[in-house]
Amino acid sequence: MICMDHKGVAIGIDTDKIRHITQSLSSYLQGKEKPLGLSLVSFFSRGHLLIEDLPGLGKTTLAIGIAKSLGLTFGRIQCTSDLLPTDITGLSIYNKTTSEFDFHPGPIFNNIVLCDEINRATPKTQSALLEAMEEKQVTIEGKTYKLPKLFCVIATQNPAEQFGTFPLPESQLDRFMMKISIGYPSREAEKEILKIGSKREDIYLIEPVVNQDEVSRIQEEISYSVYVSDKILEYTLSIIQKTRTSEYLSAGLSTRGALTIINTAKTNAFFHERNFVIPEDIKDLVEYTIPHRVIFKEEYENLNKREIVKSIVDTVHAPL
Amino acid sequence: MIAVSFTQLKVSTIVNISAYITGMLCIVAVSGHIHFFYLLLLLAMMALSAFLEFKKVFIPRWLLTVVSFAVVVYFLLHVGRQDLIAQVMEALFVLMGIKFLEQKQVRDFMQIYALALFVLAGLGLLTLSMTFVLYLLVFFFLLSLSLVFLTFYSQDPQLELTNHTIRKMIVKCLWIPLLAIPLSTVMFVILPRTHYPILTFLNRPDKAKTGFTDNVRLGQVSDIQEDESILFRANMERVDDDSLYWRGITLDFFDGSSWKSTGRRIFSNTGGKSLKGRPVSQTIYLEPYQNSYVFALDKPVFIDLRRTRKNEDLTFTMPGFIDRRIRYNAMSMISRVIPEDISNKQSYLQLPADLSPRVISLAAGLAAGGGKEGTLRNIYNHLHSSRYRYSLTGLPVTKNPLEYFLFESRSGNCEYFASAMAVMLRINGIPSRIVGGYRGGYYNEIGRYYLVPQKNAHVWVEAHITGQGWVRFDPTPASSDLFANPGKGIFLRLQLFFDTINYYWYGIVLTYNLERQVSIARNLMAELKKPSIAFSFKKWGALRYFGLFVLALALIVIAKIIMDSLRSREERIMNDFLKRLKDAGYEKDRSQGLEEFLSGIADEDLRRSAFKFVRKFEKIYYRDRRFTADDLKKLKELVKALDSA
Repeated sequence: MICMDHKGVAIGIDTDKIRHITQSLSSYLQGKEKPLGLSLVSFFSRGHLLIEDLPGLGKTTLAIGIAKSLGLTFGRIQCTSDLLPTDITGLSIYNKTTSEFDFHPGPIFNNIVLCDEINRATPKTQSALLEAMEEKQVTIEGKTYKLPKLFCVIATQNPAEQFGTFPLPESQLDRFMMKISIGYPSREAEKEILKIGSKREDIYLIEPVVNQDEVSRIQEEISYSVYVSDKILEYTLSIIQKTRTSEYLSAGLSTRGALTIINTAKTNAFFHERNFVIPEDIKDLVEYTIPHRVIFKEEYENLNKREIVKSIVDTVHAPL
Repeated sequence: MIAVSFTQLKVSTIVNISAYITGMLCIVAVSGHIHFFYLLLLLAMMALSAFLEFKKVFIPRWLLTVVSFAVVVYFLLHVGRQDLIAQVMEALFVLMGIKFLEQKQVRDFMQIYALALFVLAGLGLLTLSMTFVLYLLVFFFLLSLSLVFLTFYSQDPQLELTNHTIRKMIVKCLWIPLLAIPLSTVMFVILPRTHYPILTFLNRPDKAKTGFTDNVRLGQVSDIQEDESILFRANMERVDDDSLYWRGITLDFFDGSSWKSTGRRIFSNTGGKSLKGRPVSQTIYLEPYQNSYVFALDKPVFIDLRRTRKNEDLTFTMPGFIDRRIRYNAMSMISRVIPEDISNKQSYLQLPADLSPRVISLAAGLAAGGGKEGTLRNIYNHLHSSRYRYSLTGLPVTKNPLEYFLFESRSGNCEYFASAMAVMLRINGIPSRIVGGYRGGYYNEIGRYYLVPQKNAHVWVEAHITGQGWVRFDPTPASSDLFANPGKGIFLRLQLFFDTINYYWYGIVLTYNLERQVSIARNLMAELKKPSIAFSFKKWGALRYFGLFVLALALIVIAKIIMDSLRSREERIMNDFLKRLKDAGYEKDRSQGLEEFLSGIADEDLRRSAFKFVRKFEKIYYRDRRFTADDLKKLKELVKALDSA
């Protein structure tokens, strides 16, 4: 389907590319179509992604796959409690020959940064990373360095291990656009993996489907040409209002959370080959965009938070 | 170790047994009160039902419904006033039998209990025997037990309960009637038996208001408030305003400031002369008030009300205060005169010893040479002239009110006028008495009855003229609002209209006149049996009401059209679309988006064509574009295409 936006640019061509990316990656990421789609939504909405899952379920593969197929650079940080902020941002080292301090950029100066087990890093390091995520720049020794235009952090954390970890504070969780989990692959997919073995090596050889310019263009396209009706804004506001007055929650969505809902919905609409947002674009994603941004009352802490959020959203009337 | 063997019972079995026991209870309870045939019929139907249940064969429900309907119609057509209760009970028996035959669901059990309750209620009307209470108690217990088991049954008919549990539940259920009985004793035995309505003492009036009293006091209050509340309604034909005197009491003893009634004797037709005049019959609805006089149009001859006493002076009294609304029929002769000779003339000539000499001299001055009738006329004319003014305010508060009224203030209410006339008549040797009651009333054309408010309380004079008898004189200047219909303003007319509704409510529902209800039902049936119902709009009035009805209908239709047009066209199309899907069995939840809703449709073709519509609709709706006529047309077509899918 070809839709014309107000600039007269056909968005059909770009949606084809999205489909192409998904297809090419899914052969490497058997059974991970859903998390892949969500990661792409997050990426194209210019947001960061938090993956909460057990080790060995393919978080890294996912991150590398996205980076490679989009023709982007990839950096990786393995967080430990002795990780220093400079290990992320990079540091200046004295150069004897020039008698000057040369800046050696850290892994954050990549398009896609995988930050493994973020909750193992100390709060100081965490906040350095999160600040970089928010500001898209780092300041080292009084000098400010811009991060790449295309910049996405994919952080992971292990929900099972709680010993010696520093859980991210709520205010910092808010900086992640979505919090997803990958989950176990299906029986067939797992069988396939066992048969062929891991495709980790192959994934580095993926030919990029698009280049960086095209990725930027698609991002712009989504921001400017996907139309959000007032009805959708009203609907979103109703959802936010409901989270703020819900009996399950002690704190509702922030304005940043509301912006996220709209931005991800736009991307989701684009992925569905539409240049306007419908309520389903929002509803599809609420369980990934909302739960980590709200604070649950203590008595509901142990319930399935996604289900609670879904039930709250289900009380909001759709525009039609 | 003790071996406990639990036998289990299905809850459906318990519910069934309980229902059959209830049926048997009804048969035993009413045996001897209704025709033997119906007892056998119910028994046979119960037996058949048990047999069918055992065989798992069921008579189709629609057939039984038709039969029940036929039974009800048959009963209604044959209902008579004689033995009504027994007839109702017979019908209930047949209906209960039919209910037993049905494949019983929870509601059928409920209906059986409801029917049994009616049967027992009917029995209560037929018998006063103690056994009735016994039956009622057993039924009460059975009912509470079954309701508990039915609750289980409605959840799972196959549920099995152990004997132990059942026994425990039965014991617990026994408590329900046991606890309910003391409460119901208070509610149903004590409350209706108190002599006075328990709570009405809270609003006993003790203000000085117009109204009826059994004595007339002069010189006590200076102002009188008019009380608009209705004392009674009299259903009757319209009569001349001049004859609208409602007789209540006569007063014959005057002590200088107040009139009292002495030694009223019971009526005995010794006078021998009968009243002459036009007979008028009335049905009167009298509100409770603080006295025992029963009113009727002047000269009442007969009042059809238990325990009323007819007095010699043609007044009627009840033994106690009228503390509840009563309804009675009265027969009156419209006449000014009671043709009666009096034996105790002296008591009607009694005067207080300290009567003012000015009054005596005034009365003496009015004596005519021509005889007593001339004197009477003179006195009447003296009072009934522009010399005296009618007033409810500025009344004399003195020891000698009559003198003050006649010579100083020259204004007063009916009590002063009547007292003055009666006293002056007595001074001149003409026997006289004061009659208290009501004057006038508004005639309600819709309900065909007179409304008489408290403020119409009135007193007048009866003078005894030898040869004629007691003749009514009303010296009070007529104030026209006493009997004129006030129905000029729309508000008053509305008030009258609501009063009519009130009146019918009292007449038909509250006074619970079974005979009347049956006669209304019979009339209705007679009308239905007529081959054709002819409406005649000969009267302009009927046409006007019809016009109003049409107008109201038209207004409703217009309002609906306006409401519809306020909703946008696309909304209407969407509603149409959703309605079609609803008809197909898919209902959209308010929180669902359209595509989300459609993805739940199992029918492939339907979903595909529904999606076509939704895609087109969304593209316009969520892009905030205006729906053009072309869009709407296409959308309509897509909605129509749903039907073929």
